[in-house]
Parts: sequence; C-alpha cells; structure tokens
Amino acid sequence: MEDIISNLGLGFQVALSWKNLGLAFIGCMIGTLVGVLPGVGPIATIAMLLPLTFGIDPVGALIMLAGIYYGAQYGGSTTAILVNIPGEATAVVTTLDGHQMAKNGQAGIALGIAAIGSFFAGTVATIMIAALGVPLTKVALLFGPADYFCLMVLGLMFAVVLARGSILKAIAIIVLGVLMSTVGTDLETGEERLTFGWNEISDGLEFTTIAMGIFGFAEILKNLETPEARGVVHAKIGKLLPGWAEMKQSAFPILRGTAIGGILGILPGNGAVLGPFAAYTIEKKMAKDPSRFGKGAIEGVAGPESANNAGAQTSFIPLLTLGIPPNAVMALMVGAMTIHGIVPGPQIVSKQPQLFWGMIASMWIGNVMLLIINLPLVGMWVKLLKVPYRLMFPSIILFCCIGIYSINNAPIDVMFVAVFGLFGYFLIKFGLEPAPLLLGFVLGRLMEEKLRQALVISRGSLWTFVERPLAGSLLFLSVLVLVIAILPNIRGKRDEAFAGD
Amino acid sequence: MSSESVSSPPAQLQGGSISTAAMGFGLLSLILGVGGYMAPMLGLPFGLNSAAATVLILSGVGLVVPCFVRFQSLQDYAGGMFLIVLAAVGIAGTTMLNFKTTTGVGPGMMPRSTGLIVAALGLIMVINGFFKKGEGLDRWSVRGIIFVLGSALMFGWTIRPMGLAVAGPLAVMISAFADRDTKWIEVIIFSVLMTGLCILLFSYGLKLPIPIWPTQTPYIPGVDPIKF
Repeated sequence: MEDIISNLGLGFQVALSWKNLGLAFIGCMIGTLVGVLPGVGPIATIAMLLPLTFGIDPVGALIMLAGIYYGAQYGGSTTAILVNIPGEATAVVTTLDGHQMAKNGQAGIALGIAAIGSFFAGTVATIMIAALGVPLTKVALLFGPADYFCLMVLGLMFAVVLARGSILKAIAIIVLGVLMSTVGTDLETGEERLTFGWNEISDGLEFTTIAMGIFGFAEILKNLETPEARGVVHAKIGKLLPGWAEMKQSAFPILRGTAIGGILGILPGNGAVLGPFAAYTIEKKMAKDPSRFGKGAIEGVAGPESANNAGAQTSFIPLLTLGIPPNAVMALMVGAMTIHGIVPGPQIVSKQPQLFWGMIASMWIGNVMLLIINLPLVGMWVKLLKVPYRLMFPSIILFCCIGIYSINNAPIDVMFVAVFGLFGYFLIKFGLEPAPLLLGFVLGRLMEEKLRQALVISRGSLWTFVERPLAGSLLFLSVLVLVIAILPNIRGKRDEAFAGD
Repeated sequence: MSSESVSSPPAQLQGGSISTAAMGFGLLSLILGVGGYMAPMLGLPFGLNSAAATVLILSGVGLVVPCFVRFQSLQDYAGGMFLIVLAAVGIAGTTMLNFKTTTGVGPGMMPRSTGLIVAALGLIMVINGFFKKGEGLDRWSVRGIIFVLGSALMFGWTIRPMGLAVAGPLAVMISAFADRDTKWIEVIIFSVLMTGLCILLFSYGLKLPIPIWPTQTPYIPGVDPIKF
C-alpha cells in the first residue's frame, strides 16, 4: 500500500510538470474534439496525430496520446446525448436514454451525470491500474515464451468471443490479421515472405498504415454511402448539475457500471466497447420499472457512461504490465511506444518508473481536465457539430496523408493507405468487422516469435504448451472460453448484450 | 423513392449493369489468370507466378458464380470469397518456404497454417451464403472509392516533387468530389486555408521535414522531371 502511494507520488511529480500538464490538456482537447465529431474514431486520430508527438519526450508523448484516447471516449457521449448519433462506438447505448433525456429538456443533467459517472469511473480505474500494475508485472516475469504464447491465444479467444456479430467471422478476421503480420523478412532465416520481390514491404506491413486505411479511409467511404443525416441539436441544455434525487438514483448504476466496465476493459478484444452494452442490459434488468428505459432513464446514461470510461482506462493494464495490447487502440499505442524506443512489457515498471507512474497519474489528471473541458465548454462542442461533413472528410484525409507521410517520410506509405482503405471498405461491405484484424496483426508477430522461442527451448516438442502448468492452464482456459461461447444459450446472451445496437 | 426499391435487395445479381460488370470482370480475370499461368508452359516469354494466377482465377470464379447461382446471402458469399482469395495469396506465396526446420517452426508455417484456417472459414461462409438467409450487397459508394482513394494516391505521387503547397490542396479538392453536394468556390478556398494551416502547424510549428514548395515535376515513366 505504501508502495503504491510513494509510486503515485512519483507519478504525480512527473505528470504535474507544466509541460506534461499542457500535453495532457492538448490531448484531452483533441480527444474530445474527435469524440464529439461523428465519423472520426480514436484509432484514426491517434494514427494521424502520431507525428505530432515526434518532437516530444516519450513520457509526454504517451500522456498526450492517452489523453486523446479517453478524451474521445468521453466526447462521444456529448454527441450521443445532444444529436442522437454516437460520436464513438462506445457511446451507442448512450443515445438510447441520453437523447431521450435531452428531448425531455434534461440535456444538461444527462451531460452532467455522464461527466460525474465518467470521472468516478476514471478515478477508480486509475487506482485499479496503480494497484494491479506491480503485482501483474511480477507475474509477467514468471512467464516463459510458451506461457506468453498461450496467454496470447487466450487473448485472441477473448477477442473472438467479445467481438460483435458472428463468431465465425471474428475468428476468420483475427486469423487474417495474423496472416498479414507474416509479410516481410523472416526474422530467423532472413527469407522474404509474401513480399513478391517488393522491397517496400520487406520490413513488413506498417501497422499505422493499415489502421489509418481501415479506420480513417474506409470509415469515410462508409459514411459517404448515406447522405448526411443529422438529428436536431437541442440548443437548450438547461442546468448541468444533477440534483440530489438524481444523484441518488444514479449512484448504484455508476458503481455497477464502473465495476463491469473496469473488468471487461482488461479483457482483450473490444472489452471497452462491450462494457457499456453490458452495463445497460444489467441496469435494465435490475430496474423496478424496465419500461422507463429508452424513454429517458437516468440510469441508462449513468451506468454505460461509467462503464465506458472505466474500460477505456483499464485496457491499459495488459499493455503496461504484460506488453500485450488488448484492443486496437492499445495496439496503436504499442506502435507509438516503438517509435519512441520503448518496448512495452513488464520491464517498463522497473526500468522506466517515471513513464509508468507518470502515465497513470496523468490519467487521473486527464479525468479532472475532461470534467473541466466538457461541462462549461459544452456550447462550443455543440457549435462544432454544425461543421458539415462535406468539409470535414477532406480535412481528415489531408491530415491522414500528412500524418502517414511523416512517420517514415515515405510517399509510398500514403499510397498503401489508399490500398488498405479499399481493403477495409471491402471488409465492412462484406460484414466483416475490421477491429479484431488489427489485434491479430499485432499479436501475430509476437505470437510467432514466442512460438519459435518456445519450440527451440523444448527442442521442437509441442508438449511444452501442455506440460508447463501456466501454459497448459491458459490453453485450457482458451478452449473453455471458445466452447462456452459456442454453446447455444450463452450465444443467445452474447447477442442480447449487443442488442442495443 | 418507392417502397419497393428500398426493400431487401435481390439475392442474385440478376440483370442490370452490376451483373454484366461482375460477369465481364470475372471472365477477364479468369482468362488472364489461366492464360498467365499457361503462358510459360507454352513457351511464351511472359507469364504470371502461381500466386498471382491463383488470385486471378479465384476472383474470376468468385465474380462469375453469383451471376448464375442464387445466394441467400450475397454478403456472406462475397466475404467468404474475399477471405479465400486473400488466404490463397498467403498459401501460394509461401510454398517455397520451409514449413518446419530442424529446430522447430520454419518461416512457412505461420503464413500457410493461418492461410489454411482463413480459407476454411471463408469456405464455410460461402456455404452459409448459399443456404442461410442473410444480408445482400448494396449501396457501394463508387464515387467515394474513386475520389477518396484517388486523392491519397495523388498526394503520395505529388508530395515529394511538388511539396505540400501543391499536394495538399490537390488532395482536398479531389477528395471533395466524393460528395455530390460539394460547392466549388467553398472547396477551393477551404483547401487553401487547410493547407496553409497544416504548413504552419506541421512544418513551422512541429518542424517535421515535409517538403513545402515544388522542386520538380512528379515522376512519369519515360518523361524527365523538370527542376524548378
């Protein structure tokens, strides 16, 4: 316990420097902006704004990127409540009751409770990361390559189970991601794989290029299919602070949402996306009068909003402690860390404590900032929503192009983005949800490396994955997870959890 | 728009220009694939490697089949075929690599085994598309594909020789074409403003080494670039 306090003290020392405070603020502002604007997700934003952080030291860069991420999670709810369009995928359920509240003239209270819930969830999640960080890294140090491999298999299984839509498609898309990760020079033998003699990809496909193609360009193509349709912006926001009765009504939903979101956020896959759905379903089940839901029930805003923010933050835990990104945004953070010369994994805590604890402390500071940015400035964000999409998407494209060019100063990368944009658009049109692909892509490389190491150690015997107690139990767990997910009645529950969509 | 035209799209690509196009492209890629693969055997000086030929043949088959067969879900069918084609690249492109080495995993193992899994799952999707009722394929934004992706290609082609001052407005203007409601004057002013902002932010503010002004004309095969 004392350790945590002294460690957090170090963290706050780092995070409270003027420079890092400023960076966290900029990150939160950009993130909120992105979250409020529909059609630009956090993945595309982080990818295109990576070059912004090149000149900054690693700690500051990661603080800013993290700010963009949870700022975006947070800003999405503003749009959901005021315009009935989810600014982010995680805000989908907030539209159900949040917008109804706005229609009933309670827009301000909905925004207020979302902010308070998110702040509470963020605080709890910060403490959770601080408490779990050190023990988990100690566990991680016991992991051999075989155990790591099995852990990643388990991670991918969770990603399959937690993905939206058919399990079959989710497996296919993840494995496709793993397949794509094998492009490039083989690390052990130096042989070229799937490059077809093309020098440009002999280092492998670039993660940021794929991410930007799929989440920047393909998203734009999808949005262009339907003519612009935006709900009415309810200009009258009303009072922002919820009264005592409303607070009492939302207290337990906030607690439950935080717990659900926090736990689901640690799990790989789109845990952060599933959290709000699960929280909403549970609130509806626990309510005395479920028919109020969908008509402006405050619990339907408080629960999911807390879950969404808690999940966004706890998803940093596997990345910072085990070096395994649990979702696509965290995978992008791996990319950002690599650019800054940091290898994510258990060694971060011991070797770069100021980075680890500084980031954690900055998360809490970021939450305070979000509270300040969002509530009083809500009017400004609403005005932003009036920017027409016909001007927004060309600007996104320009930013994407500049961003991707700056990463390697390579024009060919920009052209690759176009190719992956088309690829991502195909995936969307064919009903294949593309987010797990990125996870498969990032974990694929790690998995192959660990698989090889494990087999070298065991002299080619596959039994090592079963004999080692850790590896064996992780493998058993992954089979269990998959089997349970396929069982018919659980499958029904899983579909139900996403039914709010 | 009448209510009929909004209702569920036909499961088969019947008639109309889409079917003709699918048929045409399908046959073309079949001919190219088979021809390219056979050419070296017939002693011709050109040809395709097995991976490219496999892709062409498979996508040819994939495009031609739905013109004759009625699918319950074109989306599942197309998704499955797409996966199969990609898996084929992975498998056919790594046949010359070792699956195993003396110490364990060879370079060919991951791509080929994952390729096989993807292909198998793709096949299940194709079969699903045949039997299980599902979604069709509708509303493609062809305009978006051409102009949005075209703008990125143009940016990549012009950024080095022409600099951001030319590549930026070009990318904005080309991509703006993707929307029917685009107003010309607005786009021109907006593209210049945005580019100016980006130059200030990225070049002067963040000191990223992006070329700003033109130094030569973009590369065209066989044409010497002009230096400015």
